[in-house]
Amino acid sequence: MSTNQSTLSQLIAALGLDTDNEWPHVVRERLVAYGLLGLYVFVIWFPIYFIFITSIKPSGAVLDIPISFLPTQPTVSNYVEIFQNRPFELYTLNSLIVASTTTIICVTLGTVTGYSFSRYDFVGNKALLLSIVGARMIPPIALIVPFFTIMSNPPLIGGLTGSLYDTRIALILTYTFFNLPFAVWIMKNYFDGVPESLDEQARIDGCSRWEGFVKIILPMAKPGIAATAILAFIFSWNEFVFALVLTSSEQAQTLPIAVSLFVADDFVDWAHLAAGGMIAALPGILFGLFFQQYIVSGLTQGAVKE
Amino acid sequence: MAHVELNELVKEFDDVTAVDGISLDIPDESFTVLVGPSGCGKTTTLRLIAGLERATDGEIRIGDEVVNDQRAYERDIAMVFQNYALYPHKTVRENMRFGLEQHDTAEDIIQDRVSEAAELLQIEELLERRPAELSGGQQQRVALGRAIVRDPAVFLMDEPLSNLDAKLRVQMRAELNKLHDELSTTTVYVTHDQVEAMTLADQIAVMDNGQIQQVGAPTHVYSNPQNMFVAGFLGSPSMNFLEGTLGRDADGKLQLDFGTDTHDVPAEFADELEGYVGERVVLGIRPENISLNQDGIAANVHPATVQVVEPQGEKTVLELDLDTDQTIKAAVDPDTTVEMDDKVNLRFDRDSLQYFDPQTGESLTYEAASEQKVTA
Repeated sequence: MSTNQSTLSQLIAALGLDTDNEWPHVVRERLVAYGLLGLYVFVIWFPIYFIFITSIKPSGAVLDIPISFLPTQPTVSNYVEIFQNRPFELYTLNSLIVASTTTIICVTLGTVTGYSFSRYDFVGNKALLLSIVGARMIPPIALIVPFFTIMSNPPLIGGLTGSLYDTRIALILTYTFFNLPFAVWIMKNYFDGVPESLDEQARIDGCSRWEGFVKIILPMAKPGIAATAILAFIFSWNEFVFALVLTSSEQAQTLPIAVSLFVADDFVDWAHLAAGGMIAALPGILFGLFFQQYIVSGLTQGAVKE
Repeated sequence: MAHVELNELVKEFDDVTAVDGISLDIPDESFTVLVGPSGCGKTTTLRLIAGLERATDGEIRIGDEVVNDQRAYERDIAMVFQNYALYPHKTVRENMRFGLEQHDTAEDIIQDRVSEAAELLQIEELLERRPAELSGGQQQRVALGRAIVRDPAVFLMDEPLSNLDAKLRVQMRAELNKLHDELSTTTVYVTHDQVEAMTLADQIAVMDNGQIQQVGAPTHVYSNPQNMFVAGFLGSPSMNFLEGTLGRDADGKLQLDFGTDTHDVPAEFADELEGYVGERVVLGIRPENISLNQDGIAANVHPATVQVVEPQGEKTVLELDLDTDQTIKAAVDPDTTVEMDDKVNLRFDRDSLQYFDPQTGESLTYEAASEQKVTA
């Protein structure tokens, strides 16, 4: 009993709860809150941890029972082997090219378009914005056949370039289609939160509208741009279904497809799948951790008028 | 430096006429204040002068040039916005430099101008900070500084003090006055605050419904309002309006009849009001021109009952019910000892009376009053 008491008070101290200055019920509520949050964090991170330790187990030890949750014989051989036995550098390159190009296109077009929707009062302004965002509400899976058909036989440029099937361009076009509406929407809301008197001050200071946008408004929009970029990048990096349908070889296949290839008809190569999964997950996690500060401010900017 | 001239200026937004054919002469080096309630068109007028809106009709001249088709940056104006519109990602120095850089000003001139303006506004130690690190009053100074470095022909100010707290506003008001004395740059200033308008302006233009109701020196407009709108807008508490029927007393002199009480019209207004006998006429009297006559009945007093007593320090404002059921406010000496429900007699200062036509709102005695003030 007394040891339990002291463990509890140690825990309370470790969580920075001040029992001298807080009501007992506040301390209890905090403990419950910490408990729930801890559980949630565990649920979130456990699968990632499990993939990680699977990826550093020797192939033969993956299915051992009882499951070992701590690495006993850590090895990097799975990582080395996926690059030796499969073109993982190509998959990674494909993922990088597709995701970054999509991101650049979405940020560039989304920023300019969002600014126009925010500042210019043209005929059909609202209807057009709704239709752009509304188009994105269609479930992507409903569009998979049309996309496959179009990319296999591009109606206009087909005669010049041939089929876009199994090219990175097909993926870039598809991902841009899905992400640009969000980019426009986020940036429009972001610019709505930037007072128009700044545009006007820039005009009085001698800027054209374009100069004012580039020199004054755009530098202020960095959080919005970061939020847009991260959403577009992570979507493109993680996307699986369209990549599966629109590509068939390592010249365009991305990491999610590469990882799925470890699943054969009668056998799953868990150790290599886990190593591939870690490689696929890492950039997203790092990107997310690094930019998460911008996501919140970028998405909520303009929600509250000061 | 330049004078600004507006001729029959019109601005329509879809089906709203924000500015409805105003003409105004803003003399060189003057401090002109456009004042009026919100939605009266004063800010739109300023934005038309700035070149942020295009005029639907009419003419804007800055100096001798018609500037209707010039862009904002071609007009040689600088503007201070209500929210200051400081560039948040630039330091104070960069904010002040930006306009000059855009106009390809030589580096040594930029540096001179920025340090001069910073010294004038006492913001030298703030130059490397960003707007978010400044207090409201400091941001206000930077916004002014950014306008001053441009050395423009005209300053345009859109309610620049309204985001400051009351004490700071009074202080900045005095500084704006001083600044204008020093720089003598023609200034057009928009506000809804009539105290600000009175204290800053050497010319005041009272606006309502997209039109200018009256232009003139602040004290002149205050004492000689051309219509009931101007009379009611300037002054706090605002002017009392008492409507009655114009008739004659036993001696044939003009008398305003409120029903249970009457008011003798001073002889000097007899000529102007002669034509209105038998018609409804409004008497206007400012609260500060009403005094209590507690020493019994004399001529020209109006019995009333005290309803509310509001001591305000330098004066006490009384709300009273006249025996005619009209409500009236009086600003009296703070030493006055009256209480709720006290019966008092009010005396109107006979030099400060105004008469209006209740139909049109126009002053019936405007010219007579001005002439009288001028000769006196």
